[in-house]
Amino acid sequence: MRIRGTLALRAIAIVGACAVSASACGSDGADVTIYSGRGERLIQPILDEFEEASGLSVEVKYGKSADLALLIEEEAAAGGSKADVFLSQSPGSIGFLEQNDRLAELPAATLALVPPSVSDDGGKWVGFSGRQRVLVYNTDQANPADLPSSVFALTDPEWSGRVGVAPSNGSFQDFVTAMRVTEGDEITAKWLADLNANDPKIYANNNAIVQAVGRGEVESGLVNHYYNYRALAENPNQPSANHNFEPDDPGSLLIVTGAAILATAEADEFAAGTQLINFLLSSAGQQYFATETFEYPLAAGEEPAGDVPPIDFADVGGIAYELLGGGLEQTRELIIDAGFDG
Amino acid sequence: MANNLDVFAGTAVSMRGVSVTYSASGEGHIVAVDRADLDVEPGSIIALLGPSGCGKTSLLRSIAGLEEPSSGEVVIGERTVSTCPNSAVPTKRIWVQPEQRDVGMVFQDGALFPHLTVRQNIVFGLRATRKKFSKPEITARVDRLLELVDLTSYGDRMPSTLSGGQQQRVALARSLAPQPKVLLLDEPFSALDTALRVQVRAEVARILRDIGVTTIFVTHDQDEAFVLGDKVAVMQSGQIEQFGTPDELYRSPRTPWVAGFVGEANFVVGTVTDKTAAEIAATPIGMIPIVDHRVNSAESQVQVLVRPEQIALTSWSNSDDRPVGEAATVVNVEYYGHDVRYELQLDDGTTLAARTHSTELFIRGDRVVATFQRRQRNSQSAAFSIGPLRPADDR
Amino acid sequence: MTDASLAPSRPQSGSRQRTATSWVTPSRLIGLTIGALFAGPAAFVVWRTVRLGDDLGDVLSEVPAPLWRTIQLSVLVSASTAIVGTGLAWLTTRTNLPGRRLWRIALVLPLALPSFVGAAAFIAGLAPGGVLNDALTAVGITPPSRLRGLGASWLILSAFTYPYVYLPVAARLLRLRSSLDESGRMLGLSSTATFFKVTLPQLRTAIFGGALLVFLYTLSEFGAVQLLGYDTLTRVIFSSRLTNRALSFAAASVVLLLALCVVALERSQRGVSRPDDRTSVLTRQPTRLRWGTIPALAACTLVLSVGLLVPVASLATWAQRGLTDGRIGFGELVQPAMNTALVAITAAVAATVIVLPIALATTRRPHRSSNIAAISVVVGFAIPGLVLALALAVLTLNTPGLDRLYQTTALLILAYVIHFGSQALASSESAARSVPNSLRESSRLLEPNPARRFFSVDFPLMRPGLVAGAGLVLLSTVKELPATLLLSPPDFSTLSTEIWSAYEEGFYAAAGLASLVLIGVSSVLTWVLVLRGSDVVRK
Repeated sequence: MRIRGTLALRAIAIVGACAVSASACGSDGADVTIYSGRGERLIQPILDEFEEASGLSVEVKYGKSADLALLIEEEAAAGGSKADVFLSQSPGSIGFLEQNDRLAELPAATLALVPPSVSDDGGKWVGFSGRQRVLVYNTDQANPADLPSSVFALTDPEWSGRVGVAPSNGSFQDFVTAMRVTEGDEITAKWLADLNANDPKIYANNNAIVQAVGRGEVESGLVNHYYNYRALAENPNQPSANHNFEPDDPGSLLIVTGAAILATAEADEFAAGTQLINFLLSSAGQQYFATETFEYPLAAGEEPAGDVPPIDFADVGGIAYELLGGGLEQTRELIIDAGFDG
Repeated sequence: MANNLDVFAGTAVSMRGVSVTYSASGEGHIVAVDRADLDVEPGSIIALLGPSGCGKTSLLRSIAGLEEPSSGEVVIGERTVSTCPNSAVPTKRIWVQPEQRDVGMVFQDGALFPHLTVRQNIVFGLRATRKKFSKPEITARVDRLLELVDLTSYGDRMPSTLSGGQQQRVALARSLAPQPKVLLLDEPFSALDTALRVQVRAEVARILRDIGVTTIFVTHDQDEAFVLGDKVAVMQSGQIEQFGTPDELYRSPRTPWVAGFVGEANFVVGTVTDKTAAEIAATPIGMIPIVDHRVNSAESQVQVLVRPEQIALTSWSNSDDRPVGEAATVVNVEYYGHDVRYELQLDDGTTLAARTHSTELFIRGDRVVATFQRRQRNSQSAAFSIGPLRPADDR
Repeated sequence: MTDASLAPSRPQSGSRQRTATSWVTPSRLIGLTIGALFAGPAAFVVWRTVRLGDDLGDVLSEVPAPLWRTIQLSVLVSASTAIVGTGLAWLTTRTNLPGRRLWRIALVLPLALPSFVGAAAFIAGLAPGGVLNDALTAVGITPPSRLRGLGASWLILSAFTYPYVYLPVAARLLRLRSSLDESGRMLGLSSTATFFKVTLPQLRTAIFGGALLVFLYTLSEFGAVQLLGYDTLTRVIFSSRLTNRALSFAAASVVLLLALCVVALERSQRGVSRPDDRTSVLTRQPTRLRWGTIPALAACTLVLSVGLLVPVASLATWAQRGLTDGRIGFGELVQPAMNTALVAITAAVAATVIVLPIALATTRRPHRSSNIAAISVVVGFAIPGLVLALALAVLTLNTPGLDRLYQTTALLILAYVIHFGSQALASSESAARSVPNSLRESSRLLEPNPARRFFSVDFPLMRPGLVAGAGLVLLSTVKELPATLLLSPPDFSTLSTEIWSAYEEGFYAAAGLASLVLIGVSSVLTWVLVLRGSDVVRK
């Protein structure tokens, strides 16, 4: 009797697996397939809104931007990517695909929705939300008036042991790449070496830094601006706040979340993808990013929400964003050479 | 090997009031051994005999120190190895660890260390013991032991390559290597198949008598106990029912249960007739001189132990010179070659088993007369109160 | 099925010899095919390395330092878990430690935590404001300000992986016959000496098997070492996967090569002595600890606190903030939990079934082919999940006819089977060994049909071991992350992907809640499958 029971269980399991896999096979069923390096909590609501508004069905695969880029590359190399739209948290991943010619050129109308400084010169991708690099600090331990206006000041002896960085994190690496573009490799390498010599506290990612600052473990850290707002939302009593560097300092780099359509997308998928990106850049989409995730809306005419200080993109511009895509490898090498674990 | 008869002044092993209890989950206490007393002479081989669950193994293990008695005292040689203080004897608690008791033990499954060779197994005890031996001494000793157990060329074999009987012999050699004061054997032959058992048993008996070490072994096999043991302790439900030589147990058991356990027993109901010198019971199969073990001697009825070989059978005839006895019909015949066992149905309804030489043979359905026949002059049969035998487990 | 190769009607020694050494018998072919399945991803990695690396020398120059660090960590963690796991197993099975039955369950639970969650939660607990920090300062000990580097990684990984050693050693100790130890005592050894000279040799296979799993796990582990800042080979694989794919694959090849060497070494050592499986009927008296009771309890609590108590307490504080605010709820975890259960159970069953022929072959008719197949199964555990998933993705995408499998749950389950099949293999092998030869032989005479014979005789006896193996696969699958992220179809999330996505974006409350649900589910499964199924009821 028990033998039959176990056999039955197995049979059910196998049948169940087939059923699930069969149902999961229908990726052609959706109008738009998105691979999103942006987390579910941060984008699914607006995608649901899009589905309702447009009547198009959307299916999303979430993951790490770099892994998804790798996957798209393999899929495309094998004959065609399953994804229609790629949303990337990091310019590095989009740059990788662009270098391998996997991205399609977006319609001019879509590109016109944002300032030219936050979209690709070749029209292959467009930014739909922005994240700014800031210095988060512990309000109990540090005096805002003493905080530096340039990231270069962090290598001064007075800042020894008071700064947290996450050298393996994508946004830090993007920031260093941008610094290489504006300041050149030599100055960047020197800054990295000086920073490493100044007893920085190393963390795995932005979250860890903000948590550490909140706990008082380290006095300040280089992070993206919105982490602190999210941390405060979870724990309003946390004594941490953001400090912006000067607008044209490398330390106040604006990192965009980019959207692109895959070159292997078919015509109707391309159209649906375009519709999606336009929606993300519409007022509804942009305000979602502003109010829910505390990021910078990039579409012309949209304002950031809450306590997020407004920035003028014209001032932040001047950085050739397309150069951010490539060159990540050299950035990594520079970071490692300076003594950090890349 | 040294003969250790002269090692002890008094007894080799002595136990007083030893009880061993277990606490079983949800059932409270299980009494495995109930106030056992035992005295073992040096150089003798003692058998602990009984059905499964009677406590014989627990008793053995409490001598070894592998079980801790809940009361009582165990003495090995002149050294008290364990006591349990109680209200009667308020002394300090004594407990000597098993490895310090100088006792050897052979387990039912041999328990040879599978990762060591035969030689390494035997040497194991020599290295660990506190008596120090030099290297050539050790080698010589091991060689002698291997020779003793007749396994001289097997020194470098692994235990898994040996047969069951060979493993037991190596286990024996291993336990004898450190020259223990007492040797304990826990059902050493029960893991062997029957044909092998008899042979290995004989060899082990020879070895033990050669060496002369005091031995206590546990068995549920009555043949084994009688053949190997100088004295046998019969146990049931944790108590030692009787301790004596095999002959004492066989001919003068103290209870019906012991009688039935150590050999096939017929119990014949009879009436005690008063005589001045010795008591005699009048039974259907004849007048039997008895030793009275009755609980209440006021009763007139007894059951008398009659062994199958004490029943003589003669052909039934209607003539006048038919012998005194009870008429019976042969119900079953078992022919063993040297003797024959008959199952008889007496005319009064009772059944008897009888064993006779095969000089005169009967077949099923024959009518015979069953008569009591003394084996020896002046011997007396045990007689007990009427009543059910104490619940006897399987023999 | 494995008996199909025997031809009972042909007793000539010549044909029997051919069967013994030939590689082309049906059962051997099955074994080799299964082995090829497990080795596929590894082969792909090597092939890619060769194809991508024009300048392999240059590329490989970055490898030695992380390789050395990886070896250091893996060896240290294996050694410490071997000692800790064995010691704890002895304490909870052979002594009169108070609450042993509870400890036997609790000490296995660190397996239920995904390592990156556990590490993050422990770090949070140790940092100012965390539960452990408060506890230590209350007692007067200043907690370490930072947890990084080799020492920290060694501590954390040991605390999470010792159950891989604990489980098989405890199971073996429970089944070991008491007469061996007792013989040792009677021959003059003290209890301590008996443990080291008599019991420990009997535990060798269990300890080495468990330590091997720990070694392989540490090789492929990434989440915890990343948080603790210890740069291993997996770090190289991860950080260069986009920017320098040649290096990434080369590093993966090195990991696999290292794993292969270690596994092959262990297998060759193992064949030397067959473990003795006889059990004894007597209940043994447990060793009395007396004054050792307090230190023993302290040791158990200490080990468990790093591996389970502190992380769970941290997770609970995270979750609690969110629950009281009403920001998170259990509702959104239902679908992921069901997905998790479905794939995990299917993977567990599939892994046990697939690995069974190999287990039977290595125990009943050992041959080089079955050994090779077993090695490739075990090496699967060392492939980092990311690499394995990528390999499977590429293989299915580029093989005509197989691309229908891409991005299905079936492929995901296959990834789990390849990655965790080794856990089912060890248990299945010992289960196969526990069927007495005499029983098998007598059943051969009574039932000529091999399949029916297997199901009516072998399988019921093997069931506890098989269930335990399936339970271990289940536990590992439930907390797997990188392969799940890569291979799962769109709109398919599991508990572990939920934990990851919440954690990455700083939603600690949600991450905490999902983690606690995961731990709860895993704990129940551990008790039901791994402990109850295989435990012999003893006191």
